[in-house]
Amino acid sequence: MLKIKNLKASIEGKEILNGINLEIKAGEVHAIMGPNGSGKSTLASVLAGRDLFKVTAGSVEFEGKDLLDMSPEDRSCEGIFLAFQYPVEIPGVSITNFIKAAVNAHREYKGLDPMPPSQFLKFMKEKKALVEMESKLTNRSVNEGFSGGEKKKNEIFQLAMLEPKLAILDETDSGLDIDALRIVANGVNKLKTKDNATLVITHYQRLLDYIVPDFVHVLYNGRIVRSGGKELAMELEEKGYDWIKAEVNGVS
Amino acid sequence: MQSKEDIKKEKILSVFDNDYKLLSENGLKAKALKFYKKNNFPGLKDEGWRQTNLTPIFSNEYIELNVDEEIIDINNFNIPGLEANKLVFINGFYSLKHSRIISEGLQIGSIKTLSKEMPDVFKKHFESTEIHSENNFTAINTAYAHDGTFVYVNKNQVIDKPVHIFNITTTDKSILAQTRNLVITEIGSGLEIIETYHSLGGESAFTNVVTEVIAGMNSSIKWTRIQDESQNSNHMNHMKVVQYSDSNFMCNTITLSGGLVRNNIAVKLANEGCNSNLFGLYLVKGKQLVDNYTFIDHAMPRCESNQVYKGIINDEASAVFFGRVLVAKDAQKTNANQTNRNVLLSENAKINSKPQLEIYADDVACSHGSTTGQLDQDAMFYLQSRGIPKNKAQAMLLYGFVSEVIDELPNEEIKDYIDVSIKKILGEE
Repeated sequence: MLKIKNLKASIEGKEILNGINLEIKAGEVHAIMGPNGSGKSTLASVLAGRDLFKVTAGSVEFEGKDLLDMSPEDRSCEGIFLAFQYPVEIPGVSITNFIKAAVNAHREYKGLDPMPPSQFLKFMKEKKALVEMESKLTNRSVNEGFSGGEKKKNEIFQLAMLEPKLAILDETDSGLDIDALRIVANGVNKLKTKDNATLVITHYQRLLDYIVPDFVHVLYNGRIVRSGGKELAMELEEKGYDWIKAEVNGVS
Repeated sequence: MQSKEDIKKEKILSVFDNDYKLLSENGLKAKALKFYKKNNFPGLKDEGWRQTNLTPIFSNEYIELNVDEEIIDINNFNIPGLEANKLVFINGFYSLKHSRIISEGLQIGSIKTLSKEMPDVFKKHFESTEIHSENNFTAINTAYAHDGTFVYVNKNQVIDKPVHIFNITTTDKSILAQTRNLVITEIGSGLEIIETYHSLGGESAFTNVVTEVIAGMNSSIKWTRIQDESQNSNHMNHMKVVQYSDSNFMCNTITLSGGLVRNNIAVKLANEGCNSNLFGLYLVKGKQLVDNYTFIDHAMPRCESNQVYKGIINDEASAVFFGRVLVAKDAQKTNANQTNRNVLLSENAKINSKPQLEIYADDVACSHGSTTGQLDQDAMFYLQSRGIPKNKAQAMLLYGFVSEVIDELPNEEIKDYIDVSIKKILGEE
């Protein structure tokens, strides 16, 4: 589904991603872990198409198409979804209008008519239930005055509404209490099928107790320095990141 | 030799037919003309006018024109679903044919007619609101207004349907249209007014309006002004408001289109317990200039005023916001807030924003703020990352930015009307 080859990216001349190689297949859950500043969030942003970052080398293929060549909106319509670490507040735009615009943009991309309003409302109600989102919340402006938990639930709600092929969760667990974490993780798990894939980016192992990965990769200094199964996450939880840093720095 | 300023005065004065008699009986016309001759039009050297180049107003040869009302289709300018008392002015002249009063017991109509029918009320209130904003635009209006709206609301009377005042210029030539409005609400009464301005065609009309509002004790007035004129038009609007004890006044000024637009609102809070809300929204593009000037005179204690003005400025257009709040020494417990926010969509778009507080009392709660910026790029990316195309995302964000002002509009029909107009302008639909 996703093939990242030797991906390098920089911001203001500073190289953040330093040759990433990663392949994700349908039905798989991958986790990327790593210390702060290792490039985890940059990788997520680059995949979603944020133009703050300049791709200097490498390629990303998504379902056989050149992802880097696409606008952020086209990437979304092709099936990439990024759950933001810090979702933006948008005053004056209600969640309902926002997600309706998004759903209909996806439909238009596929050559479909806009979803009839009654069907849309039913669809939205279903997906809200999935993340135990308070009904009134969708009338409010996007993320404005939301608690940390509400913001993250809103991200997973959008994920549910847009049904992407590849969901990228950027530090979705950060700042969540255990109840909110459980709800968010359950939402993600219920949306999992054999045809879609999930890339979980996290600093902590905690989330991976709920969203169990098939593969764990450790990102450090803009490169994947180690890959393994879910036991690698346990090892990192126990020993921290220092031994990896030492290993990498020792080798280089 | 005549000075440049004299030539301007001569040019505007020469438009009017000297036999025109609206106000001459009581000597007010003579007084206004005396003022006009003594003073010059405001200009770039005058405080409050420094950012407003008025050259376009004086670069046309204007005429007065009372056209055949039959040729105008008023339905184009209706607000869908709004049941209202309608007063229609074409090039400043009252159109009996198109006007329609549906509320019972309303003393409302052409000021030319009603000033004769209610001479005492007229004399008592006309030109009674002299507050700092007298200039040659108001003076020429006092002397030669074509007609205008007169509304008198009796004690404790609440008008069930809003009053919609249509102002239309038929710009196949450069028209100078002057309307003069006088609105009086007696103790405990209530009134909603919607004023809309339209032009038919592209020539450079000049609309010069003066409105006086006298809000009696505990009365309530909700006013909405919608300006939707051609890109070549000139619009000068002076509104002077005096509020008595515990009265509520709200004015929404929505500028959708126009060439040169200047809105002056001066409010005097003359007794205790008044509440005044001024909201504004301007969407400026091309080479337009929209200038909002507000002055709130907190003369007495325990009054509250709120101002929120928001603008989106594109292309080479410019906007000005100059808001002055004066809190007198005795005006303790004043609560005054003033906000101006702008989004610039192009490198050549300009905004001059100057909120000003002058406070002479010591026990007050006042705030003011002004922000100007580009569209929030993080928010743009957020919308795009959900599949929403760039144009649509921009329109949604801009709509979100102005929605705070739309939410304040006094009824659903106006909200819908402005909603649709703005979405069309922003390309949201």
